[in-house]
Amino acid sequence: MKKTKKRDIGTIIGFLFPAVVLYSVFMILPLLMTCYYSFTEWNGITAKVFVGAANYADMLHDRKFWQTLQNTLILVTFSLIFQISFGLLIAYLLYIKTKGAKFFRTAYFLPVVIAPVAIGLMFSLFYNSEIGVFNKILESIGLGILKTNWLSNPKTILGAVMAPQIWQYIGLYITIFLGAFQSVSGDIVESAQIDGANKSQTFWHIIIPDIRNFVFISMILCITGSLKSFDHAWIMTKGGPGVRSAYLGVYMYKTSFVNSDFGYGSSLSIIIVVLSLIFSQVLSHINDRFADK
Amino acid sequence: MNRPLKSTVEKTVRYFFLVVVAAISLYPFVWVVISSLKDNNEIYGHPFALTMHPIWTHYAEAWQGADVSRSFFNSLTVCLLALLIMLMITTMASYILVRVWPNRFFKTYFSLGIMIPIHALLIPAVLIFKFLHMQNNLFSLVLIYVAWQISFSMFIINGYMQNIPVELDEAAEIDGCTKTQTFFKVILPVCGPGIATAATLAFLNCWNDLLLGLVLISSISKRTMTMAISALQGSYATNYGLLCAGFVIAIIPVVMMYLLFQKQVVSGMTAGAVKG
Repeated sequence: MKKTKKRDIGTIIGFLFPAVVLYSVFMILPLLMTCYYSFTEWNGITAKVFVGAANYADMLHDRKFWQTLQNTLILVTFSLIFQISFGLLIAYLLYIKTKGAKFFRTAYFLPVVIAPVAIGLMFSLFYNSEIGVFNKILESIGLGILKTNWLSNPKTILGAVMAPQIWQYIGLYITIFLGAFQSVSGDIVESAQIDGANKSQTFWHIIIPDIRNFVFISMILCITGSLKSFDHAWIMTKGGPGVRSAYLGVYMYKTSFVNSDFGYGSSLSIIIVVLSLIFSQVLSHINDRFADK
Repeated sequence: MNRPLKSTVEKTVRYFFLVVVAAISLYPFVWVVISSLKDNNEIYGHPFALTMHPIWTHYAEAWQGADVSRSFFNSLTVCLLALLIMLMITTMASYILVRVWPNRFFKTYFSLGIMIPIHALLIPAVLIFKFLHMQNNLFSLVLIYVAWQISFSMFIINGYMQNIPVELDEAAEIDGCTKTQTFFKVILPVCGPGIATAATLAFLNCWNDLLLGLVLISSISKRTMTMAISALQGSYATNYGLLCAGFVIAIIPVVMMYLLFQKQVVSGMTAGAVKG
Protein backbone atom coordinates (compact mmCIF):
# COMPACT_ATOMS: atom_id res chain seq x y z
CA MET A 1 0.00 0.00 0.00
CA LYS A 2 1.39 3.39 -0.96
CA LYS A 3 2.01 6.07 1.60
CA THR A 4 -1.07 8.15 2.14
CA LYS A 5 -0.94 11.55 0.52
CA LYS A 6 -1.73 14.71 2.37
CA ARG A 7 -4.85 15.50 0.40
CA ASP A 8 -6.23 12.07 1.29
CA ILE A 9 -6.23 12.81 5.01
CA GLY A 10 -9.38 14.87 4.64
CA THR A 11 -11.08 11.96 2.88
CA ILE A 12 -9.88 9.49 5.48
CA ILE A 13 -11.27 11.55 8.34
CA GLY A 14 -14.46 12.42 6.51
CA PHE A 15 -15.15 8.81 5.52
CA LEU A 16 -14.35 7.29 8.91
CA PHE A 17 -15.98 9.96 11.04
CA PRO A 18 -19.69 9.06 10.78
CA ALA A 19 -19.14 5.36 11.48
CA VAL A 20 -16.70 6.03 14.33
CA VAL A 21 -19.03 8.52 16.00
CA LEU A 22 -22.24 6.49 15.78
CA TYR A 23 -20.48 3.27 16.74
CA SER A 24 -18.65 4.87 19.66
CA VAL A 25 -21.67 6.72 21.04
CA PHE A 26 -24.25 3.97 20.66
CA MET A 27 -22.18 0.78 21.05
CA ILE A 28 -18.92 1.29 22.92
CA LEU A 29 -19.99 4.08 25.25
CA PRO A 30 -23.09 2.10 26.40
CA LEU A 31 -20.90 -0.93 27.06
CA LEU A 32 -18.56 1.14 29.23
CA MET A 33 -21.51 2.75 31.00
CA THR A 34 -22.96 -0.68 31.76
CA CYS A 35 -19.60 -1.73 33.23
CA TYR A 36 -19.63 1.34 35.45
CA TYR A 37 -23.28 0.98 36.50
CA SER A 38 -22.62 -2.61 37.48
CA PHE A 39 -20.58 -1.24 40.37
CA THR A 40 -23.34 1.08 41.57
CA GLU A 41 -26.65 0.85 43.29
CA TRP A 42 -29.14 2.86 41.31
CA ASN A 43 -32.85 2.93 40.52
CA GLY A 44 -32.54 5.35 37.62
CA ILE A 45 -34.01 8.28 39.57
CA THR A 46 -32.07 8.97 42.76
CA ALA A 47 -28.30 9.49 42.75
CA LYS A 48 -26.03 6.58 41.89
CA VAL A 49 -24.18 5.09 44.86
CA PHE A 50 -20.85 3.46 44.13
CA VAL A 51 -20.88 0.09 45.89
CA GLY A 52 -17.83 -1.64 44.43
CA ALA A 53 -18.34 -5.30 43.68
CA ALA A 54 -21.40 -5.58 45.96
CA ASN A 55 -23.75 -6.41 43.06
CA TYR A 56 -21.54 -9.29 42.04
CA ALA A 57 -21.30 -10.47 45.65
CA ASP A 58 -25.10 -10.32 45.90
CA MET A 59 -25.38 -12.70 42.99
CA LEU A 60 -23.67 -15.41 44.98
CA HIS A 61 -26.67 -15.73 47.26
CA ASP A 62 -29.36 -14.64 44.84
CA ARG A 63 -31.46 -17.74 44.22
CA LYS A 64 -33.07 -16.20 41.16
CA PHE A 65 -29.67 -15.60 39.63
CA TRP A 66 -28.64 -19.24 40.11
CA GLN A 67 -31.97 -20.47 38.81
CA THR A 68 -31.75 -18.35 35.64
CA LEU A 69 -28.07 -19.19 35.18
CA GLN A 70 -28.97 -22.87 35.45
CA ASN A 71 -31.82 -22.48 32.94
CA THR A 72 -29.45 -20.69 30.58
CA LEU A 73 -26.81 -23.39 30.87
CA ILE A 74 -29.43 -26.10 30.30
CA LEU A 75 -30.44 -24.27 27.14
CA VAL A 76 -26.79 -24.02 26.08
CA THR A 77 -26.35 -27.76 26.62
CA PHE A 78 -29.48 -28.84 24.75
CA SER A 79 -28.78 -26.38 21.94
CA LEU A 80 -25.31 -27.82 21.52
CA ILE A 81 -26.54 -31.40 21.59
CA PHE A 82 -29.47 -31.00 19.22
CA GLN A 83 -28.39 -28.21 16.92
CA ILE A 84 -24.84 -29.35 16.30
CA SER A 85 -25.54 -33.09 16.01
CA PHE A 86 -28.74 -32.80 13.96
CA GLY A 87 -27.09 -30.09 11.92
CA LEU A 88 -24.18 -32.37 11.09
CA LEU A 89 -26.38 -35.39 10.45
CA ILE A 90 -28.89 -33.70 8.17
CA ALA A 91 -26.24 -31.70 6.34
CA TYR A 92 -24.37 -34.93 5.69
CA LEU A 93 -27.50 -36.59 4.30
CA LEU A 94 -28.00 -33.63 1.98
CA TYR A 95 -24.36 -33.66 0.99
CA ILE A 96 -24.18 -37.26 -0.20
CA LYS A 97 -25.69 -36.96 -3.65
CA THR A 98 -29.20 -36.07 -2.71
CA LYS A 99 -31.58 -34.84 -5.36
CA GLY A 100 -33.55 -31.81 -4.28
CA ALA A 101 -30.92 -30.76 -1.73
CA LYS A 102 -31.71 -27.16 -2.62
CA PHE A 103 -35.40 -27.54 -1.83
CA PHE A 104 -34.64 -29.22 1.48
CA ARG A 105 -32.16 -26.55 2.47
CA THR A 106 -34.67 -23.82 1.63
CA ALA A 107 -37.24 -25.55 3.82
CA TYR A 108 -34.90 -26.13 6.76
CA PHE A 109 -33.60 -22.58 6.76
CA LEU A 110 -36.99 -20.84 6.66
CA PRO A 111 -37.60 -20.76 10.44
CA VAL A 112 -34.19 -19.16 10.96
CA VAL A 113 -35.22 -15.88 9.32
CA ILE A 114 -38.47 -15.42 11.25
CA ALA A 115 -38.58 -13.16 14.30
CA PRO A 116 -38.01 -15.19 17.48
CA VAL A 117 -40.97 -13.43 19.06
CA ALA A 118 -43.21 -14.66 16.22
CA ILE A 119 -41.94 -18.21 16.69
CA GLY A 120 -42.67 -17.89 20.40
CA LEU A 121 -46.21 -16.71 19.68
CA MET A 122 -46.76 -19.57 17.25
CA PHE A 123 -45.66 -22.17 19.76
CA SER A 124 -47.74 -20.68 22.53
CA LEU A 125 -50.69 -21.40 20.22
CA PHE A 126 -49.51 -24.97 19.80
CA TYR A 127 -49.14 -25.38 23.56
CA ASN A 128 -52.51 -23.77 24.22
CA SER A 129 -54.69 -26.01 26.34
CA GLU A 130 -57.86 -25.14 24.39
CA ILE A 131 -56.80 -25.37 20.75
CA GLY A 132 -53.28 -26.70 21.36
CA VAL A 133 -52.04 -28.86 18.54
CA PHE A 134 -49.62 -30.82 20.70
CA ASN A 135 -52.33 -32.16 22.95
CA LYS A 136 -54.45 -33.07 19.90
CA ILE A 137 -51.55 -34.95 18.36
CA LEU A 138 -50.90 -36.83 21.60
CA GLU A 139 -54.57 -37.71 21.80
CA SER A 140 -54.72 -38.92 18.22
CA ILE A 141 -51.76 -41.25 18.64
CA GLY A 142 -53.20 -42.69 21.82
CA LEU A 143 -50.96 -40.90 24.27
CA GLY A 144 -53.78 -38.82 25.69
CA ILE A 145 -52.50 -39.37 29.22
CA LEU A 146 -49.48 -37.20 28.42
CA LYS A 147 -51.74 -34.23 27.71
CA THR A 148 -50.85 -31.29 29.87
CA ASN A 149 -50.91 -27.55 30.02
CA TRP A 150 -47.38 -27.23 28.69
CA LEU A 151 -46.75 -23.64 29.67
CA SER A 152 -48.07 -23.86 33.22
CA ASN A 153 -47.08 -27.33 34.33
CA PRO A 154 -43.85 -26.72 36.28
CA LYS A 155 -42.42 -30.00 34.99
CA THR A 156 -42.80 -29.11 31.33
CA ILE A 157 -42.52 -25.33 31.30
CA LEU A 158 -38.76 -25.00 30.82
CA GLY A 159 -38.64 -27.64 28.11
CA ALA A 160 -41.65 -26.08 26.41
CA VAL A 161 -39.94 -22.70 26.34
CA MET A 162 -36.63 -24.10 25.08
CA ALA A 163 -37.96 -26.38 22.34
CA PRO A 164 -39.08 -23.66 19.86
CA GLN A 165 -35.75 -21.91 20.08
CA ILE A 166 -33.77 -25.08 19.47
CA TRP A 167 -36.12 -26.08 16.64
CA GLN A 168 -35.90 -22.65 15.02
CA TYR A 169 -32.13 -22.54 14.55
CA ILE A 170 -31.31 -26.11 13.52
CA GLY A 171 -31.59 -24.95 9.90
CA LEU A 172 -28.80 -22.46 10.45
CA TYR A 173 -26.39 -25.22 11.45
CA ILE A 174 -27.55 -27.54 8.66
CA THR A 175 -26.71 -24.78 6.21
CA ILE A 176 -23.35 -23.98 7.76
CA PHE A 177 -22.35 -27.66 7.80
CA LEU A 178 -23.63 -28.27 4.27
CA GLY A 179 -21.36 -25.44 3.12
CA ALA A 180 -18.55 -26.98 5.15
CA PHE A 181 -19.00 -30.45 3.63
CA GLN A 182 -19.05 -28.95 0.17
CA SER A 183 -15.74 -27.24 0.91
CA VAL A 184 -14.04 -30.59 1.59
CA SER A 185 -11.98 -31.50 -1.47
CA GLY A 186 -13.33 -34.52 -3.29
CA ASP A 187 -9.78 -35.78 -3.86
CA ILE A 188 -8.98 -36.59 -0.25
CA VAL A 189 -12.32 -38.34 0.20
CA GLU A 190 -11.68 -40.39 -2.93
CA SER A 191 -8.13 -41.29 -2.03
CA ALA A 192 -9.30 -42.40 1.43
CA GLN A 193 -11.87 -44.66 -0.19
CA ILE A 194 -9.28 -46.05 -2.57
CA ASP A 195 -7.20 -46.85 0.52
CA GLY A 196 -10.14 -48.93 1.69
CA ALA A 197 -11.88 -46.64 4.18
CA ASN A 198 -15.62 -47.23 4.45
CA LYS A 199 -18.24 -44.50 4.66
CA SER A 200 -18.20 -44.03 8.41
CA GLN A 201 -14.40 -44.14 8.59
CA THR A 202 -14.21 -41.52 5.86
CA PHE A 203 -16.73 -39.37 7.73
CA TRP A 204 -15.03 -39.51 11.13
CA HIS A 205 -11.38 -39.57 10.09
CA ILE A 206 -11.31 -37.49 6.93
CA ILE A 207 -14.32 -35.21 6.69
CA ILE A 208 -14.88 -34.20 10.32
CA PRO A 209 -11.24 -33.21 10.97
CA ASP A 210 -11.32 -31.23 7.73
CA ILE A 211 -14.33 -29.17 8.83
CA ARG A 212 -13.24 -28.86 12.47
CA ASN A 213 -13.12 -25.07 12.23
CA PHE A 214 -16.74 -24.90 11.14
CA VAL A 215 -17.79 -27.15 14.01
CA PHE A 216 -16.03 -25.01 16.59
CA ILE A 217 -17.34 -21.74 15.21
CA SER A 218 -20.83 -23.21 15.10
CA MET A 219 -20.48 -24.22 18.73
CA ILE A 220 -19.45 -20.67 19.60
CA LEU A 221 -22.42 -19.27 17.66
CA CYS A 222 -24.71 -21.76 19.35
CA ILE A 223 -23.47 -20.93 22.86
CA THR A 224 -23.37 -17.16 22.51
CA GLY A 225 -26.78 -17.25 20.80
CA SER A 226 -28.24 -19.22 23.71
CA LEU A 227 -26.68 -16.90 26.29
CA LYS A 228 -28.46 -13.94 24.65
CA SER A 229 -31.89 -15.61 24.66
CA PHE A 230 -34.82 -13.43 25.53
CA ASP A 231 -37.63 -13.26 22.99
CA HIS A 232 -39.03 -16.80 23.02
CA ALA A 233 -39.23 -16.99 26.80
CA TRP A 234 -40.53 -13.45 27.09
CA ILE A 235 -43.51 -13.92 24.82
CA MET A 236 -44.42 -17.39 26.04
CA THR A 237 -44.16 -17.03 29.81
CA LYS A 238 -42.45 -13.71 30.64
CA GLY A 239 -39.98 -15.99 32.37
CA GLY A 240 -42.53 -16.96 34.98
CA PRO A 241 -43.79 -18.21 37.27
CA GLY A 242 -41.16 -16.27 39.22
CA VAL A 243 -38.06 -17.02 37.21
CA ARG A 244 -38.91 -20.69 36.61
CA SER A 245 -38.63 -20.34 32.83
CA ALA A 246 -36.38 -17.26 32.67
CA TYR A 247 -32.89 -17.10 31.19
CA LEU A 248 -30.24 -14.62 32.31
CA GLY A 249 -31.36 -12.23 29.56
CA VAL A 250 -34.94 -12.30 30.82
CA TYR A 251 -33.88 -11.87 34.43
CA MET A 252 -31.67 -8.95 33.43
CA TYR A 253 -34.58 -7.29 31.61
CA LYS A 254 -36.97 -7.86 34.51
CA THR A 255 -34.48 -6.58 37.09
CA SER A 256 -33.70 -3.46 35.07
CA PHE A 257 -36.96 -2.46 33.48
CA VAL A 258 -39.64 -4.00 35.68
CA ASN A 259 -37.98 -3.54 39.08
CA SER A 260 -35.90 -0.47 38.04
CA ASP A 261 -32.79 -1.93 39.64
CA PHE A 262 -30.34 -0.54 37.09
CA GLY A 263 -27.21 -1.34 39.09
CA TYR A 264 -27.94 -5.03 39.57
CA GLY A 265 -29.39 -5.26 36.05
CA SER A 266 -26.13 -3.90 34.65
CA SER A 267 -24.07 -6.43 36.56
CA LEU A 268 -26.29 -9.19 35.13
CA SER A 269 -25.62 -7.92 31.59
CA ILE A 270 -21.92 -7.91 32.30
CA ILE A 271 -22.20 -11.55 33.38
CA ILE A 272 -23.78 -12.36 30.00
CA VAL A 273 -20.93 -10.56 28.21
CA VAL A 274 -18.27 -12.27 30.32
CA LEU A 275 -19.79 -15.74 29.89
CA SER A 276 -19.93 -15.25 26.11
CA LEU A 277 -16.29 -14.19 26.07
CA ILE A 278 -15.15 -17.07 28.28
CA PHE A 279 -16.99 -19.73 26.27
CA SER A 280 -15.74 -18.42 22.93
CA GLN A 281 -12.17 -17.99 24.15
CA VAL A 282 -12.05 -21.48 25.62
CA LEU A 283 -13.48 -23.03 22.46
CA SER A 284 -11.12 -21.15 20.14
CA HIS A 285 -8.27 -22.21 22.38
CA ILE A 286 -9.29 -25.87 22.15
CA ASN A 287 -9.65 -25.50 18.40
CA ASP A 288 -6.14 -24.06 18.14
CA ARG A 289 -4.80 -26.94 20.21
CA PHE A 290 -6.25 -29.36 17.66
CA ALA A 291 -4.68 -27.38 14.84
CA ASP A 292 -1.23 -27.75 16.42
CA LYS A 293 -1.44 -31.51 16.52
CA MET B 1 -27.38 -58.86 -6.80
CA ASN B 2 -27.97 -57.54 -3.33
CA ARG B 3 -26.24 -54.24 -3.92
CA PRO B 4 -28.94 -52.28 -5.81
CA LEU B 5 -31.62 -53.39 -3.34
CA LYS B 6 -29.57 -52.24 -0.40
CA SER B 7 -28.88 -48.87 -1.95
CA THR B 8 -32.55 -48.41 -2.85
CA VAL B 9 -33.56 -49.11 0.73
CA GLU B 10 -30.89 -46.76 1.97
CA LYS B 11 -32.04 -44.04 -0.40
CA THR B 12 -35.68 -44.46 0.60
CA VAL B 13 -34.85 -44.24 4.29
CA ARG B 14 -32.73 -41.18 3.67
CA TYR B 15 -35.42 -39.36 1.70
CA PHE B 16 -38.08 -40.34 4.18
CA PHE B 17 -36.00 -38.83 6.96
CA LEU B 18 -35.31 -35.64 5.00
CA VAL B 19 -38.98 -35.24 4.12
CA VAL B 20 -40.02 -35.69 7.75
CA VAL B 21 -37.54 -33.02 8.84
CA ALA B 22 -38.81 -30.69 6.10
CA ALA B 23 -42.36 -31.27 7.33
CA ILE B 24 -41.29 -30.45 10.89
CA SER B 25 -39.73 -27.21 9.61
CA LEU B 26 -42.60 -26.10 7.43
CA TYR B 27 -45.81 -27.58 8.80
CA PRO B 28 -46.12 -25.21 11.77
CA PHE B 29 -46.29 -22.28 9.35
CA VAL B 30 -48.74 -24.09 7.09
CA TRP B 31 -50.95 -24.78 10.11
CA VAL B 32 -50.94 -21.12 11.09
CA VAL B 33 -51.78 -19.99 7.54
CA ILE B 34 -54.69 -22.45 7.32
CA SER B 35 -55.91 -21.54 10.79
CA SER B 36 -55.85 -17.85 9.92
CA LEU B 37 -58.82 -18.57 7.64
CA LYS B 38 -60.88 -20.43 10.24
CA ASP B 39 -63.08 -19.39 13.12
CA ASN B 40 -62.57 -20.64 16.66
CA ASN B 41 -65.01 -23.53 16.33
CA GLU B 42 -63.28 -24.87 13.27
CA ILE B 43 -59.80 -24.51 14.76
CA TYR B 44 -61.02 -26.31 17.82
CA GLY B 45 -63.06 -28.99 16.07
CA HIS B 46 -60.90 -29.75 13.03
CA PRO B 47 -57.45 -28.38 13.81
CA PHE B 48 -55.69 -30.27 11.01
CA ALA B 49 -58.29 -30.00 8.25
CA LEU B 50 -58.38 -27.54 5.39
CA THR B 51 -61.28 -25.17 5.66
CA MET B 52 -64.26 -25.13 3.31
CA HIS B 53 -65.26 -21.60 4.21
CA PRO B 54 -62.14 -19.47 4.39
CA ILE B 55 -62.65 -16.23 6.27
CA TRP B 56 -60.50 -13.86 4.23
CA THR B 57 -61.78 -10.88 6.18
CA HIS B 58 -59.51 -11.94 9.05
CA TYR B 59 -56.65 -10.38 7.15
CA ALA B 60 -58.39 -7.04 6.68
CA GLU B 61 -59.46 -7.11 10.31
CA ALA B 62 -56.02 -8.01 11.64
CA TRP B 63 -54.42 -5.40 9.43
CA GLN B 64 -56.68 -2.63 10.71
CA GLY B 65 -57.02 -3.77 14.29
CA ALA B 66 -54.44 -3.64 17.08
CA ASP B 67 -52.38 -1.06 15.18
CA VAL B 68 -50.81 -3.77 13.05
CA SER B 69 -50.66 -1.63 9.92
CA ARG B 70 -49.09 1.26 11.77
CA SER B 71 -46.53 -0.99 13.45
CA PHE B 72 -45.78 -2.54 10.10
CA PHE B 73 -44.95 0.83 8.55
CA ASN B 74 -43.07 1.95 11.67
CA SER B 75 -40.83 -1.09 11.38
CA LEU B 76 -40.44 -0.71 7.65
CA THR B 77 -39.46 2.97 7.94
CA VAL B 78 -37.07 2.43 10.83
CA CYS B 79 -35.40 -0.59 9.24
CA LEU B 80 -35.00 0.91 5.79
CA LEU B 81 -33.69 4.21 7.13
CA ALA B 82 -31.25 2.43 9.46
CA LEU B 83 -30.16 0.21 6.59
CA LEU B 84 -29.53 3.15 4.27
CA ILE B 85 -27.47 5.11 6.81
CA MET B 86 -25.62 2.05 8.09
CA LEU B 87 -24.62 0.77 4.64
CA MET B 88 -23.46 4.19 3.51
CA ILE B 89 -21.22 4.93 6.48
CA THR B 90 -20.00 1.35 6.85
CA THR B 91 -19.00 1.08 3.20
CA MET B 92 -17.19 4.41 3.42
CA ALA B 93 -15.30 3.37 6.56
CA SER B 94 -14.59 -0.05 5.11
CA TYR B 95 -13.16 1.52 1.95
CA ILE B 96 -10.76 3.60 4.02
CA LEU B 97 -9.71 0.72 6.29
CA VAL B 98 -9.24 -1.81 3.52
CA ARG B 99 -7.98 0.21 0.56
CA VAL B 100 -6.66 3.59 1.68
CA TRP B 101 -5.39 3.47 5.25
CA PRO B 102 -5.29 -0.06 6.70
CA ASN B 103 -5.28 0.88 10.35
CA ARG B 104 -5.13 -2.01 12.76
CA PHE B 105 -6.55 -0.18 15.73
CA PHE B 106 -9.74 0.87 13.97
CA LYS B 107 -10.22 -2.54 12.41
CA THR B 108 -10.09 -4.19 15.83
CA TYR B 109 -12.18 -1.42 17.34
CA PHE B 110 -14.98 -1.98 14.86
CA SER B 111 -14.84 -5.75 15.24
CA LEU B 112 -15.53 -5.59 19.01
CA GLY B 113 -19.21 -5.01 18.36
CA ILE B 114 -19.69 -8.53 17.02
CA MET B 115 -19.09 -9.90 20.52
CA ILE B 116 -21.30 -7.47 22.45
CA PRO B 117 -24.72 -8.89 23.36
CA ILE B 118 -27.45 -6.36 22.99
CA HIS B 119 -28.34 -6.68 26.68
CA ALA B 120 -25.25 -4.69 27.58
CA LEU B 121 -26.60 -1.66 25.70
CA LEU B 122 -30.13 -1.45 27.01
CA ILE B 123 -29.86 0.63 30.18
CA PRO B 124 -27.34 3.14 28.81
CA ALA B 125 -29.34 3.43 25.58
CA VAL B 126 -32.38 4.55 27.53
CA LEU B 127 -30.30 7.14 29.40
CA ILE B 128 -28.42 8.41 26.36
CA PHE B 129 -31.63 8.99 24.43
CA LYS B 130 -33.18 10.65 27.47
CA PHE B 131 -30.16 12.96 27.55
CA LEU B 132 -30.63 13.69 23.84
CA HIS B 133 -34.36 14.37 24.41
CA MET B 134 -35.24 11.50 22.11
CA GLN B 135 -37.35 9.37 24.43
CA ASN B 136 -40.04 7.35 22.71
CA ASN B 137 -38.71 8.46 19.34
CA LEU B 138 -38.47 6.10 16.39
CA PHE B 139 -35.32 7.83 15.22
CA SER B 140 -33.56 6.67 18.37
CA LEU B 141 -34.17 3.11 17.15
CA VAL B 142 -32.69 4.03 13.77
CA LEU B 143 -29.51 5.35 15.40
CA ILE B 144 -28.98 2.38 17.66
CA TYR B 145 -29.76 -0.14 14.92
CA VAL B 146 -27.12 1.58 12.77
CA ALA B 147 -24.51 1.34 15.53
CA TRP B 148 -25.49 -2.24 16.38
CA GLN B 149 -25.16 -3.47 12.78
CA ILE B 150 -21.92 -1.66 11.83
CA SER B 151 -19.55 -4.34 13.12
CA PHE B 152 -20.96 -7.34 11.35
CA SER B 153 -21.69 -5.45 8.14
CA MET B 154 -18.16 -4.16 8.11
CA PHE B 155 -16.90 -7.71 8.58
CA ILE B 156 -18.81 -8.80 5.48
CA ILE B 157 -18.03 -5.72 3.37
CA ASN B 158 -14.32 -5.73 4.35
CA GLY B 159 -14.10 -9.32 3.17
CA TYR B 160 -15.62 -8.31 -0.12
CA MET B 161 -13.47 -5.20 -0.57
CA GLN B 162 -10.29 -7.17 -0.01
CA ASN B 163 -10.98 -9.20 -3.12
CA ILE B 164 -11.32 -6.25 -5.46
CA PRO B 165 -8.10 -5.94 -7.48
CA VAL B 166 -5.83 -2.99 -6.57
CA GLU B 167 -5.50 -2.24 -10.28
CA LEU B 168 -8.94 -0.65 -10.18
CA ASP B 169 -7.80 2.00 -7.69
CA GLU B 170 -4.57 2.55 -9.55
CA ALA B 171 -6.31 3.01 -12.88
CA ALA B 172 -8.72 5.47 -11.30
CA GLU B 173 -5.83 7.38 -9.78
CA ILE B 174 -4.01 7.57 -13.10
CA ASP B 175 -7.20 8.94 -14.62
CA GLY B 176 -7.00 11.71 -12.03
CA CYS B 177 -9.69 10.56 -9.61
CA THR B 178 -9.47 11.70 -5.99
CA LYS B 179 -10.05 9.04 -3.32
CA THR B 180 -13.62 10.27 -2.91
CA GLN B 181 -14.27 9.95 -6.63
CA THR B 182 -12.59 6.56 -6.74
CA PHE B 183 -14.91 5.37 -3.99
CA PHE B 184 -18.16 6.59 -5.48
CA LYS B 185 -17.39 5.91 -9.14
CA VAL B 186 -15.23 2.80 -9.05
CA ILE B 187 -15.33 0.87 -5.77
CA LEU B 188 -18.91 1.36 -4.58
CA PRO B 189 -20.45 0.09 -7.84
CA VAL B 190 -18.46 -3.16 -7.76
CA CYS B 191 -19.20 -3.80 -4.07
CA GLY B 192 -22.86 -4.45 -4.82
CA PRO B 193 -22.97 -8.15 -3.90
CA GLY B 194 -21.10 -7.65 -0.61
CA ILE B 195 -23.36 -4.77 0.34
CA ALA B 196 -26.44 -6.80 -0.59
CA THR B 197 -25.37 -9.62 1.74
CA ALA B 198 -24.72 -7.20 4.60
CA ALA B 199 -28.02 -5.46 3.88
CA THR B 200 -30.20 -8.55 4.01
CA LEU B 201 -28.65 -9.67 7.28
CA ALA B 202 -28.94 -6.24 8.88
CA PHE B 203 -32.54 -5.91 7.73
CA LEU B 204 -33.43 -9.27 9.28
CA ASN B 205 -31.74 -8.38 12.57
CA CYS B 206 -33.49 -5.02 12.81
CA TRP B 207 -36.89 -6.27 11.67
CA ASN B 208 -36.72 -9.13 14.17
CA ASP B 209 -35.42 -7.09 17.11
CA LEU B 210 -37.70 -6.93 20.11
CA LEU B 211 -35.53 -5.83 23.05
CA LEU B 212 -34.41 -2.41 21.83
CA GLY B 213 -37.94 -1.57 20.77
CA LEU B 214 -39.28 -2.61 24.17
CA VAL B 215 -36.95 -0.37 26.12
CA LEU B 216 -36.85 2.66 23.80
CA ILE B 217 -40.46 2.95 22.63
CA SER B 218 -43.34 3.43 25.01
CA SER B 219 -46.38 4.61 23.05
CA ILE B 220 -48.62 2.20 21.16
CA SER B 221 -48.64 4.31 18.00
CA LYS B 222 -44.86 4.01 17.70
CA ARG B 223 -44.66 0.28 18.27
CA THR B 224 -42.56 -1.81 15.91
CA MET B 225 -43.84 -5.00 14.31
CA THR B 226 -42.26 -7.35 16.84
CA MET B 227 -43.82 -5.34 19.66
CA ALA B 228 -47.16 -5.57 17.89
CA ILE B 229 -46.74 -9.34 17.62
CA SER B 230 -46.19 -9.65 21.34
CA ALA B 231 -49.27 -7.49 21.88
CA LEU B 232 -51.39 -9.66 19.55
CA GLN B 233 -51.64 -12.29 22.23
CA GLY B 234 -53.43 -9.88 24.52
CA SER B 235 -55.62 -8.26 21.86
CA TYR B 236 -56.86 -11.43 20.19
CA ALA B 237 -56.65 -13.85 23.08
CA THR B 238 -60.08 -15.16 22.16
CA ASN B 239 -60.01 -15.06 18.38
CA TYR B 240 -57.32 -17.45 17.21
CA GLY B 241 -58.05 -16.99 13.51
CA LEU B 242 -57.37 -13.27 13.79
CA LEU B 243 -54.26 -13.93 15.84
CA CYS B 244 -52.95 -16.25 13.13
CA ALA B 245 -53.74 -13.68 10.42
CA GLY B 246 -51.76 -11.07 12.37
CA PHE B 247 -48.90 -13.53 12.64
CA VAL B 248 -48.91 -14.18 8.90
CA ILE B 249 -48.89 -10.44 8.12
CA ALA B 250 -45.94 -9.97 10.47
CA ILE B 251 -43.78 -12.62 8.87
CA ILE B 252 -44.63 -11.92 5.21
CA PRO B 253 -41.83 -9.36 4.62
CA VAL B 254 -39.06 -11.63 5.87
CA VAL B 255 -40.44 -14.70 4.11
CA MET B 256 -40.68 -12.76 0.84
CA MET B 257 -37.20 -11.42 1.32
CA TYR B 258 -35.91 -14.87 2.10
CA LEU B 259 -37.45 -16.41 -1.00
CA LEU B 260 -36.31 -13.57 -3.27
CA PHE B 261 -32.79 -13.07 -1.91
CA GLN B 262 -32.10 -16.53 -0.55
CA LYS B 263 -28.49 -16.50 -1.61
CA GLN B 264 -27.73 -13.23 0.18
CA VAL B 265 -29.73 -14.16 3.27
CA VAL B 266 -28.01 -17.51 3.62
CA SER B 267 -24.53 -16.17 2.97
CA GLY B 268 -25.13 -13.28 5.38
CA MET B 269 -26.39 -15.48 8.18
CA THR B 270 -23.66 -18.04 7.79
CA ALA B 271 -20.87 -15.50 7.12
CA GLY B 272 -19.79 -15.59 10.75
CA ALA B 273 -19.02 -19.28 10.52
CA VAL B 274 -17.80 -19.47 6.96
CA LYS B 275 -15.31 -16.61 7.02
CA GLY B 276 -14.48 -16.42 10.71
